[in-house]
Amino acid sequence: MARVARKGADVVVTKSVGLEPRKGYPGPNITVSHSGLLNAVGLTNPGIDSFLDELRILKRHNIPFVISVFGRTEKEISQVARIAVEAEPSALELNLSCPHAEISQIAHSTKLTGDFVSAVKDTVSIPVFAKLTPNASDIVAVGLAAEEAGADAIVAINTVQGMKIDITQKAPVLANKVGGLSGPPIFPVAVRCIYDLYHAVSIPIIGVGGVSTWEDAVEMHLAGASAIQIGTATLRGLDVFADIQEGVEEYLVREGFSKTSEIVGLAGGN
Amino acid sequence: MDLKQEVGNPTSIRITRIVKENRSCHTLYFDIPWSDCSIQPGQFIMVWIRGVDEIPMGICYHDDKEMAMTVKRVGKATEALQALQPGDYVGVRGPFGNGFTLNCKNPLLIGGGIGMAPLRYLTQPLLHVGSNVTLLVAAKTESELLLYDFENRASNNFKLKIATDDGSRGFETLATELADSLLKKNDFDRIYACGPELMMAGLLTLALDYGIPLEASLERYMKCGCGICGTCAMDPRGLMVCVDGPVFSDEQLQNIDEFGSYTRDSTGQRRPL
Repeated sequence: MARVARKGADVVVTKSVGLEPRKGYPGPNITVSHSGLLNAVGLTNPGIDSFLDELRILKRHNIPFVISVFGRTEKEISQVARIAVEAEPSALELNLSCPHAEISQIAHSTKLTGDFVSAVKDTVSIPVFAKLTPNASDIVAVGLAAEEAGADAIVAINTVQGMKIDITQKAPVLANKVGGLSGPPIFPVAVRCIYDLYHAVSIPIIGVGGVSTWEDAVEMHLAGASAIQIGTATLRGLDVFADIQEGVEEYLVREGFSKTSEIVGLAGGN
Repeated sequence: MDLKQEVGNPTSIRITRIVKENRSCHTLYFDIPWSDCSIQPGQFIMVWIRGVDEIPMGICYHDDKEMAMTVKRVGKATEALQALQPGDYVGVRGPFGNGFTLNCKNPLLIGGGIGMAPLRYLTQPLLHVGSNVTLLVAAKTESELLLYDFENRASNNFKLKIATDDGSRGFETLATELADSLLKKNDFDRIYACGPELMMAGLLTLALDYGIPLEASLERYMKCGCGICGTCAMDPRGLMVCVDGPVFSDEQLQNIDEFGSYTRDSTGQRRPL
């Protein structure tokens, strides 16, 4: 994480952490299809207690970070959140939507989403982000429920459910069979979700999903994203952060804007 | 952005033949799955055993048409790999990681146990370019020595030394002790090592004492093999074994706090070596 920050990321978001150490699924955990990455890691993490020690290192380096937390129940996610704030993160991101684990269903439901967000908001006093799934039938309704429950921002989108079958061995490649698709193929899906959410909610949206170039970042800002997360594109190396920042800066100057916030949501004509 | 190459062009191949190397190690041969890439000694592949797991495996042999990996039984996945027969399929992705550098004239190669596997492949090109190779093969006991075909290799520029902890074959000594005495008597210009991490940590101390560059191949728990999951990242700078290694120089190793001290388990929790 420190390495990512040194390479130009303004904030780093951790992998999702839960209450207990968790192995995740056996391999294969990743594969590729149609220029997208499919993964089913299974929320592997050392548990929040062990994770705190690692995060203190980040704190010492003065690197702003967000902790992604998950839990099977409102009580469990609140417990994780209560411990996580000890590391003094800038915010907590609630993973309500890992598409291939037992928590996958939370962000499909407006009620569950609201309940989980409320539970964490009642527990901590730092900003809380709700990460939503494009696999929900109505992501805008879920976004509104998160906002109503007190979420400080929405993170959209999590990976898109998908799978890959090996035609030689005639079997699904991922050990979990179903995984989450990320990378360039989900970019237009993310843009659509962010565009629709932007016109419905008044809290900021953090855009994520397939961004790999500065053009993608600009497009996502225009759809309504105030900030952007990058994951899969780091496969090509960590220069992606600096490259995108530079490209966006140049675009802003060229187009006569002075800061990124001026283009957020501009494509909607607001 | 086409991610296929970064993820190692996943494909399925058939095992063509199997050689039993010693009590616990089998070498599985298969045709080279990727026509358009060269595979360097020290690089590794991810091997998918259907219904079981996907694990990183070093390359122990490579020629124009076939390559091989040596499998030591250490858990469920390696047990399943050893149960495969010629004609059976495995999925492969790769090759991943960096390789050993080859620019040396008098290298000392030290392989402990299954750590011999990548050094076997490294020996081929080193001999081919005319290096004088001294190969130290070490194991706990004779039945665990991974000797491949080295015993039959009669050549002016190849010397074989054997060490076992219990003295059942070769010198009764630790690899580091035999390495120390070889370093005293010879003028090596590079040390290559692969084996238990404590052995490699001892060799790093020796390499620094003698002022000889060292390259060592490390092992960490891995999931993706290609630098996205972070499972194999090492303290304190986040060097990843899968993309920054698995081969590291003496200079890098001195700056990896956890080298020779601890590793991480499948959940990411620290475990002492």
